[in-house]
Amino acid sequence: MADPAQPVIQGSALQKTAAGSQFASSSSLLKVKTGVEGFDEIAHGGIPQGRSTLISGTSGSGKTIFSMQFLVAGIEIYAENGVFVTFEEIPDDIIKNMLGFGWDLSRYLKEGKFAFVDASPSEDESVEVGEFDLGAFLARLLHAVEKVGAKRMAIDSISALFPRYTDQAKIRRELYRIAAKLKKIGITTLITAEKIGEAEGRVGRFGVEEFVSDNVILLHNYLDEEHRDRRRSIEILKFRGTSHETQDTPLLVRSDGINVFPRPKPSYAGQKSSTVKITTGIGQLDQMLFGGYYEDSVTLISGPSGVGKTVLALQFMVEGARKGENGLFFAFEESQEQLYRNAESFGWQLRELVKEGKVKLICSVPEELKAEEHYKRIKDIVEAAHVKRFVIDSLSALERIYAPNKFREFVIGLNVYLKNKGVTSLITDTISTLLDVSEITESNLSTMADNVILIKYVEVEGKIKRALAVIKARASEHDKQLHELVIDNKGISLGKGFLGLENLMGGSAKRIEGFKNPE
Amino acid sequence: MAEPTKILLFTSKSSIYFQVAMDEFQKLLKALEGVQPFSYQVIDVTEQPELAEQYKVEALPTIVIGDKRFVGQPKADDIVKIVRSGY
Repeated sequence: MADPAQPVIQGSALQKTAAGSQFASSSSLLKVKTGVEGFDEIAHGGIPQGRSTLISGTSGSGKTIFSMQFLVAGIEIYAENGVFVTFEEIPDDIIKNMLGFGWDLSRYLKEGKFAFVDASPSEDESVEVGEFDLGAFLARLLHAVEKVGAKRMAIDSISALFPRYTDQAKIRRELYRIAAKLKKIGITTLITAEKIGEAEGRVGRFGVEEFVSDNVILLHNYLDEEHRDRRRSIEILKFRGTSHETQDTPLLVRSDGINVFPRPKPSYAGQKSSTVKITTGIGQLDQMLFGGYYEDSVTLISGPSGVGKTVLALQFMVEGARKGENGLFFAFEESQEQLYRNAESFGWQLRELVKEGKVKLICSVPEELKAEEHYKRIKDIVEAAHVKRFVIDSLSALERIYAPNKFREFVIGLNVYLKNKGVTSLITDTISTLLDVSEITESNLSTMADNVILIKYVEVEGKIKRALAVIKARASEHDKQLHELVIDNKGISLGKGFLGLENLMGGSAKRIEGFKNPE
Repeated sequence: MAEPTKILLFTSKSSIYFQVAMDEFQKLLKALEGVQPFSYQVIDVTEQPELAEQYKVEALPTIVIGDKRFVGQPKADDIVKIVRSGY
């Protein structure tokens, strides 16, 4: 298995973890795993077994790759042979193209695991002289299935068949007959169909949905106007008699095939609430929080640049690792070496903790991956490395590049996921104002956080100091005083409250007249 | 001497056009006799699907004459006209 700490780009788009191809979904209808990474999750196990499923999309939306990946995964993972029916490209070209994904079709052909039905146009001059049926085409399909003992078939693309004949209603009837025959022999078939444009309402041209109306998947390929970025996505329109996700889900075509990125699915159902508290890594902060963070809580650490948010997060992570709680630190603003150096200046051996596998450190430029990819990567590592403590530093870096709704979906989905896993999370958020704080977070995400900690600069008698306040601690008592935050060569420590001063939140402290220190 | 033209009829006993196709094919062969040398073959696609694959035939009936193909229920007279004009 690939190192989960590595970017998912290096992973395989073929899911290799599954033991078998068949999967019983919530209903009695069996499903067949496509092996397309992420798709089987949104399909609740795969596509309906022994049925035809239509995949419709515009040119370049990934139909051919998806259907070939379904066959390749069948051979490689599930020991199910496949037949590819090609209407447009010739087999030699397909073999060459698919090598680009590392799929060696020639080998499968030699090994008798794979067969082509070459339905690409004949070079002969053809005249339609009367009524016909598609009996020869059906015979070829059945012959290929029999030859390799296929359990899977892909027909790509059925739309190319229609222009070859004048009577298109006849073609539809014939295709219906063929789909029925394929169903009878129990072969699971993907049929691709071409859509002209994204705006087109119909599933495909020529009314293709009429002959395989039971199961329909849509592939979208559109230009994201806001980000001037071409985006692909996949949507399951219907699976008759069985469940599936209904959301439009991002899809990427990469060097190893198609990856689908199921969106975060926030649900509070079944969520437990822990009563166990864990240390923040800072003794005085533990006291302010009456024992630390709840172990399944999300804490937002808000403050301007340079105020100590990263140090607070590192301290939390290092302290956890020392206690045997594995951590995952997602850094969007600093490189690995910068973080090591930063940690070493406080005497924390972060490099060693990373080497020992106690801390996973992922430094990434936010733009490197899409939100769904970041989400998936985090999930993969949390599962593989038994992560107990999680940090994102900082959220602002992500917010900068994602559309607001996507950003919220990402954050909320991630939080719900981490809570369900019982992971303690710290999320840092940079606010732009240096002294005056009018909003705790510019992302407006404080409502989803269990704890909100504000770190800010304050001016006290002409000096700039750092101050920390616990603004919110859900289901817990907490110290409401502003405390001085000191960063020295051991990390962060907190001083006493700024007694006798007021208007610290405004950034500029004033001495309270007549105040006497009780000590 | 030129190779005799190959004339093939792709059909299937399970096709509803089977009998009509066979009858018209006979007529066609008769009409082409003496026009030019040819050989012929009737192919039942359920028995010889690999030939249907080789010739990329989809529809039944299909008559292949050299590099021309006539798709659908044939009318021998029409095909003869086309063949005569084309050769």
